[in-house]
Amino acid sequence: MSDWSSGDLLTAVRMRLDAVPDSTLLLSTFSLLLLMILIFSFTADQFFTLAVLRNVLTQTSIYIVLGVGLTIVLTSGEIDISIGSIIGLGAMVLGISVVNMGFSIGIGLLATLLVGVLCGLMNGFLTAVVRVPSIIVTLGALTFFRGLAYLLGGNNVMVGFPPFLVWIGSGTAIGVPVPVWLALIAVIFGQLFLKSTRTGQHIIAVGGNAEAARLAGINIRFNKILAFVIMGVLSAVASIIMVARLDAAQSVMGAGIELQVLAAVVLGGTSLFGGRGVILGSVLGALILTILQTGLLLSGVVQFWQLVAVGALLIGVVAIRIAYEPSEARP
Amino acid sequence: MIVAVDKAVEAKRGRLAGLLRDWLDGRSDAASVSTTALLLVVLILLFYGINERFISMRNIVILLNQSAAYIILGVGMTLVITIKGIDLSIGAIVAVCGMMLGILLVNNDYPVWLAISAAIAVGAVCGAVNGFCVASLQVPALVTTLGTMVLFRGVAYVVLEDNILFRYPDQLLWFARGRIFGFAPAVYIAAIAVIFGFVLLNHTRFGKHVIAVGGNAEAARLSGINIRRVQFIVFALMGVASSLAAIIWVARLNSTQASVALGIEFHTIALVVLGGTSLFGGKGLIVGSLLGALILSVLENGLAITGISSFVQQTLIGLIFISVVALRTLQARGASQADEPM
Repeated sequence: MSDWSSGDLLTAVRMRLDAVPDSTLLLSTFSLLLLMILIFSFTADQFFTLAVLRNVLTQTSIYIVLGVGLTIVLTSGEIDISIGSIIGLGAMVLGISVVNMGFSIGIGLLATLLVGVLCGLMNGFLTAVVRVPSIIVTLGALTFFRGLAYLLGGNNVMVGFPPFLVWIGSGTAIGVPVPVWLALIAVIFGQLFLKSTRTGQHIIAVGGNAEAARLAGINIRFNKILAFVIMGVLSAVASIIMVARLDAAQSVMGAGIELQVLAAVVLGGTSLFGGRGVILGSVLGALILTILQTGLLLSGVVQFWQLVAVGALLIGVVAIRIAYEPSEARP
Repeated sequence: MIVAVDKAVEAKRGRLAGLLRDWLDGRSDAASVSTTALLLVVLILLFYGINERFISMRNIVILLNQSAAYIILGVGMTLVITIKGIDLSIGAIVAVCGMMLGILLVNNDYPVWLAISAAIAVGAVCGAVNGFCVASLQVPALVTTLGTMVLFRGVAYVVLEDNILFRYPDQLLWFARGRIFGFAPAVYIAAIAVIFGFVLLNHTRFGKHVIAVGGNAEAARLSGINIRRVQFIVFALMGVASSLAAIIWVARLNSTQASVALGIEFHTIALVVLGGTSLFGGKGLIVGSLLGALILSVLENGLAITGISSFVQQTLIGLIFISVVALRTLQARGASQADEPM
């Protein structure tokens, strides 16, 4: 019975893991996260305090909400770099409707979500129907939406939101911050949608091989537009969380966040070439990014080194992953 | 009889359309470039109509001076996009090269030629890092340059922190403020970059390899082209182009800080696409990118002259960009409806 060598055991474990899709990937990302937490627990004294943990989770929740959306868009074989500007535009609409015009908060939130839907529709239409490459569409939209946000709000800072919005930003429900609940809902939605609904499977198929999907009778246009609309709505949700956390709205909000989110999603193992989306990986990726930044800050590393670390980590992780799985490199 | 006549007419019309299509196909590059040139002319006339001073020698000198850095970056980015790559890190490379200039010229008193050589070397090294990751590690260009964009910018911040370095020696400022036959030396550098890029892409063996790698990497590999070498060189050239842009930038502003040229990568990609270079690789139009850079500068300069707020300017530039690219895509699709999947 003691014939079992470690090699056999390893094979058995691997076979077991292979039975669950993406599990090796998630496991390796999770190990990286644990390793990072371990290192910072030595270098940063206050790392394990409740305040830090809460802050990290709340901060990450914005990235997670956006990460779920971007995972779905990337899975469909497209990309969206306009999300930071959608956030800025959403914040302006929320600020103007609630603070300047005095509408009730419910109407303000609805209007913000509607802005997200419209932005997503525009990106989706130009990508799927006019068929301009999505990186170009959303590159233009990045400037266009931000321009609209500036047009609406200029450089003003809008303050004085009703208590309900402040609760969304800094309140708790059952001891957990509200943004974390929102992120959790987004993750459960994303995971169920992508893995367990017919439409989710269609999006994966479209991203994996558009021609095959079309021949199988899948409506490519609808699925791509839907992916962009989901991204737009989640950007609006992120914009609401951001405004709520700061209790202020400004047109510059969300600038540059697209690259952070893209980094988180890529760290999580979602393919840039479509057909493979790992929602839970994006959650881990977002946690890794925030913990890396918070951990370095608490370890007393000069703030600017964080940028160097994030860049090196991103390239390093992807390079290692490609070395082990060369098929990742090519579409 | 009538049917036969109809058929004859139809055949004739078909032949005409076919001839026209052949002619256009043979000159599809020329067609793209002339559309871009047309847009440029229309914009220039529009701004001239709004304000006569737009076409004054003074404004033309300023406009060309402003566009020089864009043109140089555009030439580099055209090569990168032709091999189906992308480079998001160029703004950060400009920052690192600017940092180098600042350290050598403001914080120390090194000779200008040495500082310029050092800046170009730094740009080449940054580009080589990108090239190494893309070509040897096989990390997709988007991920590589997303990472190095943060990384290089981080290096600039670590060294410069929030300081602004200024008071550069006159020899450096000469690049943007001196005049040779009425124009700044920067404009001549941009012209040389365009000629260099054009000859390299269209009239050398290396240029053919660049187009082949972008068009069909597998076919290029099978015909014995060293893909990795091509990718590496193109990204290194992009780094050098960024360093030249940095020199011009610093000379024009007479200052450096870590946040310089933030977001310039998006402008550069936009102007290359405006110029007609295909994002799908295998087709690069250096002259188109030159026109794209001029369009961008004309828009920025012209909108500023009209006195429209910068908020409206940004919205307009985004809107114009999206519409032009959408039109161009529709046009291209009309030409080759059959061979497009989806």
